[in-house]
Amino acid sequence: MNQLQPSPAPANNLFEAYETGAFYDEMFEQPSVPRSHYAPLFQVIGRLDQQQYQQRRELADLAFLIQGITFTVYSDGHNTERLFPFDLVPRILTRAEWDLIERGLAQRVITLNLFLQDIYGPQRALKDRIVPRSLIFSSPQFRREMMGLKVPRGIHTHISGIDLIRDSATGEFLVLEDNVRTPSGVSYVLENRLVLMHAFPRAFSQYAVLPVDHYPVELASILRSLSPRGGADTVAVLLTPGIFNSAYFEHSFLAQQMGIELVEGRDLVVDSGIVFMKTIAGLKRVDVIYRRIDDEFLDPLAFNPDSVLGVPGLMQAYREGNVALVNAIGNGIADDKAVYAYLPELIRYYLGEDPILRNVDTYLCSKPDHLAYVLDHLEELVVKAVGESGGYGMLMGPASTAAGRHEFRRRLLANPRNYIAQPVIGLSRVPAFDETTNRFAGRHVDLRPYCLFDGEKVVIVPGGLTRVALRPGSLVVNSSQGGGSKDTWVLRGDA
Amino acid sequence: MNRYKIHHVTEFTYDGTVSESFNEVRLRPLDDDRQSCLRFRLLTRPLAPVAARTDYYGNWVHQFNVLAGHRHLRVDAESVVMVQPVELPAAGGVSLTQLDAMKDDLEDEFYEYLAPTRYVPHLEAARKLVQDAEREPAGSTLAFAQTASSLVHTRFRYEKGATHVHSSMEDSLSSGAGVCQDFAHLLLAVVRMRGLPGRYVSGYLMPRKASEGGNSMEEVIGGQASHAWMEVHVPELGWVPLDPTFGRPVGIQHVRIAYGRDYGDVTPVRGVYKGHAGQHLSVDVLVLPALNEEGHELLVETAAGPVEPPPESVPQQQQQQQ
Amino acid sequence: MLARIADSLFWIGRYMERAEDTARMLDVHYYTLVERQGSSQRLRWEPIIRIAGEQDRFYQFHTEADAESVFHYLAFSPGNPNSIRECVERVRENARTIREIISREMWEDINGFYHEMKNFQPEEELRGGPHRFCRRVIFACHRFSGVSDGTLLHDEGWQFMRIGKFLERAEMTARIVNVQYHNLVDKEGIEDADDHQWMAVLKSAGAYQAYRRWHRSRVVPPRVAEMLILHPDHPRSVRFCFTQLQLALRDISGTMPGDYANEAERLTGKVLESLRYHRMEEIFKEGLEGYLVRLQASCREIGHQIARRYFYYTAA
Repeated sequence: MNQLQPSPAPANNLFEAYETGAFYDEMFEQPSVPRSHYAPLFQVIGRLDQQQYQQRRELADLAFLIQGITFTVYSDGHNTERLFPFDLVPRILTRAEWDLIERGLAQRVITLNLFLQDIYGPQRALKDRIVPRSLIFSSPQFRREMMGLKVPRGIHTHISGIDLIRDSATGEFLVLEDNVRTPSGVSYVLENRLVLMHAFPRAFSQYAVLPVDHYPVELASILRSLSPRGGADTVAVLLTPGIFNSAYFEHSFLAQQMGIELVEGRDLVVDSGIVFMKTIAGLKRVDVIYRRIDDEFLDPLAFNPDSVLGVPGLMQAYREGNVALVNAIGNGIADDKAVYAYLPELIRYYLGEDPILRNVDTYLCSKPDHLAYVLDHLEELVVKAVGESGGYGMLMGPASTAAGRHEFRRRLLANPRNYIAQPVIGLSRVPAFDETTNRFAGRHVDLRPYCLFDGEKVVIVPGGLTRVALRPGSLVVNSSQGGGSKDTWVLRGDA
Repeated sequence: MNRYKIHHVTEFTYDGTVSESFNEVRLRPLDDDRQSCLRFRLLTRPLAPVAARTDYYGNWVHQFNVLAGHRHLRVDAESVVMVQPVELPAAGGVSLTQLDAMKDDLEDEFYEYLAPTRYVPHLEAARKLVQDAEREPAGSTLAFAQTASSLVHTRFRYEKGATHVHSSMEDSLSSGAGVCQDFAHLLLAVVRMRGLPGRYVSGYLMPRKASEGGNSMEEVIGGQASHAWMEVHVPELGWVPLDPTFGRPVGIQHVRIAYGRDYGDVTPVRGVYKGHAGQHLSVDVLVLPALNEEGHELLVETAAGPVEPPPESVPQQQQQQQ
Repeated sequence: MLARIADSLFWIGRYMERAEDTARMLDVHYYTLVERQGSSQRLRWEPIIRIAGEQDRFYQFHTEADAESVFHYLAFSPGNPNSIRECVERVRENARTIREIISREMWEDINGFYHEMKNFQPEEELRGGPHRFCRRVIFACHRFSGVSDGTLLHDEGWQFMRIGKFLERAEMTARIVNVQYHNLVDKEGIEDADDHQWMAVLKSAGAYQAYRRWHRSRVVPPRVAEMLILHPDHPRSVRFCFTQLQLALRDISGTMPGDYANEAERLTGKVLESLRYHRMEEIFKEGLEGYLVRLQASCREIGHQIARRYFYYTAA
């Protein structure tokens, strides 16, 4: 890379009139001056004219469409399949940036796991008043059925997706939220990489990018290690809600990549505490279930009796230690947005270390003084429901209407425990193609790395899913709300 | 008489064939310093292996599954229980003012027994009962709870069939009637709204002997052996049982099965099955005294013999609402 | 293999075959019938609907069977669960639930076929006639056969797909012969039906060229029936289909020839014996219609028994 000197890109290119604005732009130090690790990419992409770019883009879209890499949205009572918009400009992280993120995430994942062991066990953190008891017991995500249950090898958080954002003021990575139930999106990380390599082979070859395709192998080896029967002939399955689930593609993709059976609830049956799958040759015992069904729908006998997706008796099999579940049941208590606020404290409590990655400042509406502040500053804050994800149940203060704020004021007063509020963070930006102007423009991004925990160490696929808010000015990156994704590169060695 | 034999039969009949039936029952009386379950046997037809465990609240839960097709499912739970008489506190406990000062500590320790639940919402309509019970001149928390219990007892009418298991508290508040489950929920709402932790108790109410002046059970709770009441946590005294349906002190006639926040935590029988058939449920609870007047064992254990006819009291056989 | 996956593969084979058979039949008869004069619209067009087994449902959507309504109903109608487009949609739905099982090439092929079907504009096709559409469908089905045979592991799953395919094909061929014999011979008398129409029957079962090579004579109705029912090697004859069906069933259960491991295998063997050792003349003597009706009933029963044995789990 060193021999490639940044030279000015040809005039009239797709970066013409690109503005870095008042935000941290990850590609440009200032307009048309790329940061050093983006320079080779700038050379390649900067040479493209609009037509050449569109060709590559159409090829990429076609690749996604043909493989059926779509997500399902429900509207007007119909299911429509949509492509998750993919922007071709990769987001590049240096090794130094990544090292810090990696250490910070490992620290966090280990803490989350310790917290779950504690909450469903001795509850030391409650007795020592690190976290208020009422916060735990008032959460619908606290599963009483898990109390005292010894999960295989003590692992609750096998897979975590931890959302990071980059503060525009400082360029610092902050943790926005933890997802330790059934985080999705990792299939896009793998597919995006393949598609991008085909679209920009030259740019890719000029970088030494850390690979991501070992994720399924790592996950499969964790699954196998959990078998209650031990031995080599472990039967692991991936349990999906079915083809109407928005993440069905991912379920199918991961099952295939790991070489395990993709099952629906109706394919499994529990007999006297042992889980079996129904095959053409009769019942076959199942040892490990990577489930992509929420706790509530997992076992109609133990949880929601109306669930037709789950497996009756599964909880019994789990409790008796006859099957391992990935992730464990009851993890929602750890990624509750109100518990999130206590994570820095919990890191100190369990590990005796200072947090490597900071949280975004958070107001807990369950605290009267915080609530009063939030009600007075609704216009400046982002208010979030503690149990929701995917950008739902949220009030974006600066973009809100009087009616919207009025509604949230009502909700906050009615159920303060259910809400937190945070200052609006000006997310960092990366260039993305704007269809209306046919030019690149800065768009806000976040980052969701996927962390695997095998009970001893945390393995993180370098990079993760960069989600980008494609609408101009938007800070919401969720696919359901106009977000797209980018390939994320972590460079080998120092750059 | 403080020793009973209870035979609780639950029968499901389906219109068509069903399969993959999974069930969880809470039918075993609990053991503690006031009560011992001397014997418990659970039998299912079709026959299925039964697994036992205790739940979060310490209640016994038995689980079984029937995978093959069937049109009929019967669960027989037989227990022999010994109940010890206990001294209930007549007075004492902190004052209501002291209680208010303890609010944070109580919430921290008993959050689950103070917060509203699905069956015990904190409705404005129940606030009147709280206010009326607060007028109790003694001003103690125990007196408050006892007054609340008798208010619920006198102001609401026991009416079999007035509500069903999924009825809401609004229903009983507006109709002024309910069954023991509703009485217990209502009293729970009142004490919790005042800041006192309360827990739901499910169990049986044993018939009193005719010689003690009529079968009061027939009068009071419509002849149902399955029963529900509650316990209130009074600081300094501990958990104190109150029976707003019966309207009398909880004693050796009360056999406890399970504790929970509300009925939803202690459902006696719950299950799911596959099949499009409709179901009909019937429940019989047969209770017998286990000792005669001289204190001799009436119930000789036999392997699979028929239940011996009770010599004195009339067996209670009736339907129970689930 | 998961029972549900076997079930899906069975139906992929079945719906794909149904789409192909329907397209083939529609293509051939459409042009024969458009030319044909003399009979009423109803007499001309209804047999196609009957072959598709859709006579009841069809009249819920159309009052009159004519060139347009029949084409639209069989090719595009969302109201007809067996229309070609619906079949392809179901193939894709089934394939989607077992994407991790089928090869990537198969999925891309099915998905491509599905999108192609979506892009056909019924109004436009109705004006131009079904030929272009039907050729595309038949071609796509052949391509699918090739792609799946060439990329899918030839394990039980592949066998279930073949079972679906040959069961569907056997039933369809039996129905073609039954309806057309009834229609052309019984109603109008052998003399009135010209070679032309019998050629159409052969073509609709993809057997015209094979017939020509086999007989080298004019097209005689009893020989047409023989070709379609008893021929040992013609890939669309009922006998051929049953031979393949038996091979696939035995491959799954590991049964030796001469034996059977389940009710589906027993019934298949029984029908196959009859197809092997019957002469066409004997069948005519017994009554062709009755024979074909029993054959179709056996197909349905075998499908039912396969489902019972392999797809629906019941506890012992």
